[in-house]
Amino acid sequence: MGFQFFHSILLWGMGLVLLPILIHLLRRRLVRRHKLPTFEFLLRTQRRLTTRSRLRNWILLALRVSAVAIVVLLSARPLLQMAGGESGSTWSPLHLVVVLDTSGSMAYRTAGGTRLEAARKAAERLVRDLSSSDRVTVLATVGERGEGPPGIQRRDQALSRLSAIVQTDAAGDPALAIRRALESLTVPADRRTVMVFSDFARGDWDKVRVQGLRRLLPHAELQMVRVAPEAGTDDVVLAGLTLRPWPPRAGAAFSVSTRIVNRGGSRKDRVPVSLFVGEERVASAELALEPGAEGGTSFRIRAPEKGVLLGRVELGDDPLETTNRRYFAASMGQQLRVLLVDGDPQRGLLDSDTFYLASALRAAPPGGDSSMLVEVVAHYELAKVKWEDYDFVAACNVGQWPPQAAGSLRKFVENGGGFLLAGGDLAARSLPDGGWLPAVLGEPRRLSPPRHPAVPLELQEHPIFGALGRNPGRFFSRVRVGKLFPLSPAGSAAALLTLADGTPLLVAGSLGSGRAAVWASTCDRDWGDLPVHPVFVPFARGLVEYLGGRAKGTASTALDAGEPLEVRPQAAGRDEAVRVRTPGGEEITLRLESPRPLSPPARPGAPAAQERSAAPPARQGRFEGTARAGFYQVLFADDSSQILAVNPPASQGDLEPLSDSALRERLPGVRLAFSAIRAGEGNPARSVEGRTDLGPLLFLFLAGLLVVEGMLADHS
Amino acid sequence: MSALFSSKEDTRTGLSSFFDPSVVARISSLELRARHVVEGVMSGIHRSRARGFSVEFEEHRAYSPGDELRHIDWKAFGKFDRYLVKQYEDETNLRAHLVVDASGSMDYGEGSMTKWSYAATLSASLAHLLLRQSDAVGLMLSRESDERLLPAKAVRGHLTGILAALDAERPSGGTGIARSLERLAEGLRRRGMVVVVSDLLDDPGAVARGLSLLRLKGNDVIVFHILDAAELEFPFEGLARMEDVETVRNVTVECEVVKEPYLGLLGEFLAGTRERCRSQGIHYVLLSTAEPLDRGLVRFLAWRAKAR
Repeated sequence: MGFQFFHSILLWGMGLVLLPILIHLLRRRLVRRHKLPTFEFLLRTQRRLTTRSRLRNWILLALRVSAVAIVVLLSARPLLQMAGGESGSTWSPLHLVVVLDTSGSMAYRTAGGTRLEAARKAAERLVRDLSSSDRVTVLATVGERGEGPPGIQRRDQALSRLSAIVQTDAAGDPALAIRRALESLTVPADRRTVMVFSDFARGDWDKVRVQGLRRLLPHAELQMVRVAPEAGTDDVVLAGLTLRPWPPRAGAAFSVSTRIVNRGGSRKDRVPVSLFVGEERVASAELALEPGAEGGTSFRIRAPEKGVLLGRVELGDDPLETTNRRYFAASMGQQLRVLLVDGDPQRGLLDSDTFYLASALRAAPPGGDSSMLVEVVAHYELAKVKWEDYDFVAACNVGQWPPQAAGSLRKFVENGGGFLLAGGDLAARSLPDGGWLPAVLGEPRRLSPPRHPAVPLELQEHPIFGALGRNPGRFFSRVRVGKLFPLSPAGSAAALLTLADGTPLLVAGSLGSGRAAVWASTCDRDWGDLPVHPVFVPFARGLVEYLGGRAKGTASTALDAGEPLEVRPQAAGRDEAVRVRTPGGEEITLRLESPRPLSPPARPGAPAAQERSAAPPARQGRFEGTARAGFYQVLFADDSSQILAVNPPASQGDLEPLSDSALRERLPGVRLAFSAIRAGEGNPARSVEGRTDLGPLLFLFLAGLLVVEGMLADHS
Repeated sequence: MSALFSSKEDTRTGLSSFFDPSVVARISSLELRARHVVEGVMSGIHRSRARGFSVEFEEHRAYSPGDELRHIDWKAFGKFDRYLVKQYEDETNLRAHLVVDASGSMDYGEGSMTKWSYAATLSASLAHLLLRQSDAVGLMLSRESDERLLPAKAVRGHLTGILAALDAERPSGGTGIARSLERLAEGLRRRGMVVVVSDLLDDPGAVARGLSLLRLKGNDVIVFHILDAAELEFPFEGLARMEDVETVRNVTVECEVVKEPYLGLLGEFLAGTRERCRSQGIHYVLLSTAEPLDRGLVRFLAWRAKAR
């Protein structure tokens, strides 16, 4: 229990309590003198009255000092913080913002239901206790887009909104929710309170950093309500799932490896791990895990010849089911359409710029077909090429580009295509308007002695190196690069492969819905010997699959719950809408729209983006409703479909709660109060701290005080 | 003067203003004051039902040498052709002593007259009245440590001495009225009348003892208890520092708080004094300095008439 003051600066007025004391002292100095012969009677009277009179005088002084103090307190608007939630019975309305953490970790099951259910129950109780003049805003940490002001509702509307909030498997964005909560506190209300109901698990809250909250609203209070902290963090997490090769080849065997972590405080002797394909359990295993230990299992199964591979790995029951399953999906038999542009066609195959790359991409498993359909054209044939007929284009040592080709190539990438620009003696330093590329090319320079490429540590698990295991860098240790274009990564582009000194060799980045990369060396052996090393084949295939779309979009296991699903119909399609079938079986229509032109870094003399557009861009859509883990099926107008596996973010497995002090560090500049509610508590709102407006109470007290003062003064 | 008695209402109004202390206070000479008051009272008595009191004619007797010529009844001489002298009742038998308190507490007055001024005027008026009746009048001025005594004489010139003594006295010091009464009682050889004019702010027991001694010696005693209106009504307001007149003591009081208990104690004191006087056959008259001065004289004459 504590006090808060709405206008605490007015407490400086407390110095006014000296006024009655000064008046009292001054009055004593200004006392009038009278002589009285019957003084003896007065003296006897005074002796009798002295004690009572002094007491009465002190009481009067105390009453007057108290009255002044109360007036000052009233002007400072005191609020009493105590358990029981916000009181609605006050002389000024309250604006309560309820932020519910709906992230995956809130599905943690306790004695009285999940943490989210306990939080919702407490929030509903709090809202019910409000008066009809109060206003409520309900926000969730998952799904807040940050567009437009949050809705301000009446009590009954807020209750409906609370009951409509659902559990998700996604990671929350508490910082955005808090910022929006504070931004919503604009209604004229004297008390503004934001109550955040959460488990404050590190998975979501560790990265929270919100500055400038005081500026947003200096009088707001942020109350952090821990939900069922007594339930603990006992959980076994399916932290990772690796499928090799990825995507699995049709009809070929592939391995499914799991990484499982015991986050609980007790040893788990038998953790059941099951692999399902479709709804059939095809393999299972058990493992023992010490507290905090990490383990794993590996299954090997055969992929189907065609169709879609839908599978999941599942652990046994524990309090947090969200982290017990991971899904994977892959379409079998679909080939990536690859176009290689040879800028320096040669008669001899080994001299060709595209020979090694085409060979690597066309490689097929014994008795099977390659997953890529590769076509090679010379640079002078580019005028006849339609980019949209391909998923991926690689320009190898191309020195001359036909007019409009570069502009339409950019549009191709924006619409979801993949593009690789490789160097060479004939290659221009850059495309005619290549400012949209992820790197700017410098003057070619020779490396003497030749150097070895390296994979940056933080990118060891990048999809490009998916087939190379956990330490892909070792495969490049014998590769030598003797000449290169210096690359300067632009914007958010990343150097995926570098020299030991950090000089970028391969820089990749996104543009619209597609991806582009620049390779600083050649695709043949002119500037380095990468093409003749064994690592070239998995590296080249991983790169093309990543840039060309196999490792992104609707056939990926990389999408986390809550991440938007980019929907792009096949290149030839012009669908106006698609349907998305969620894991719950619900079908949602998603309207597709033409993308707005992007504005890349301007380059002097470059034509405007609109002018470069050769054809209307393909429609695309963004599906935001991926908050639950499972399979999402995108149904196109031509009856084709794509299936996407969505998994809980790995962060949801980190249930360790942040301490109060850690939260204070992350939310500086705003008043924070902490309380906790227990799951299964009859009235959870009772444990939540609220602020009671002491104004009416103090006003009544002041009135009573003045009445007593008046009576005492009259009596004298 | 005739305008004062043009009607009954006017008479009362005129008389009251005639004896109003604020009016009397404007007369600087004590003798004139005394005469003013006595003449006023006597005029009033002529027109009142009290007529016939005072010095009463009783009979004639034959003139003998030594009698004052002014007492010869010339009308009777014309009728009977012999000198006859008017004989008055009580003539020259009374010896009156005025005991006037001259302590510091008497030098107090919130109104137009201080208690001393009021007491002196009353005493002078009584002396004037008594001497006019040929009574012997003495004066004792009671001070803290001693007394000044003017022996009782019936000669008219004695009034001048009494008035001069009263006029010259400046009240100061503590109260010694009880002791003065005792000394007077010890000194009196003959029965007579004792008029005490004081605020009696002394030990009530000692005062009662002094009065009792006087009564035991067969004296008729009348006490004029003089108090200022401020003492009787305590009209002060707010926070005030009250100081004793006779000592350096003082006390700061909330007047509104102490008024009621103060008046209660004062009332007890007055009632006690009155009761003690009554029990000893002493006539007690409480006078406020705000009251007209004739009230004391009228009460005195009424008491005298009753006593005879």
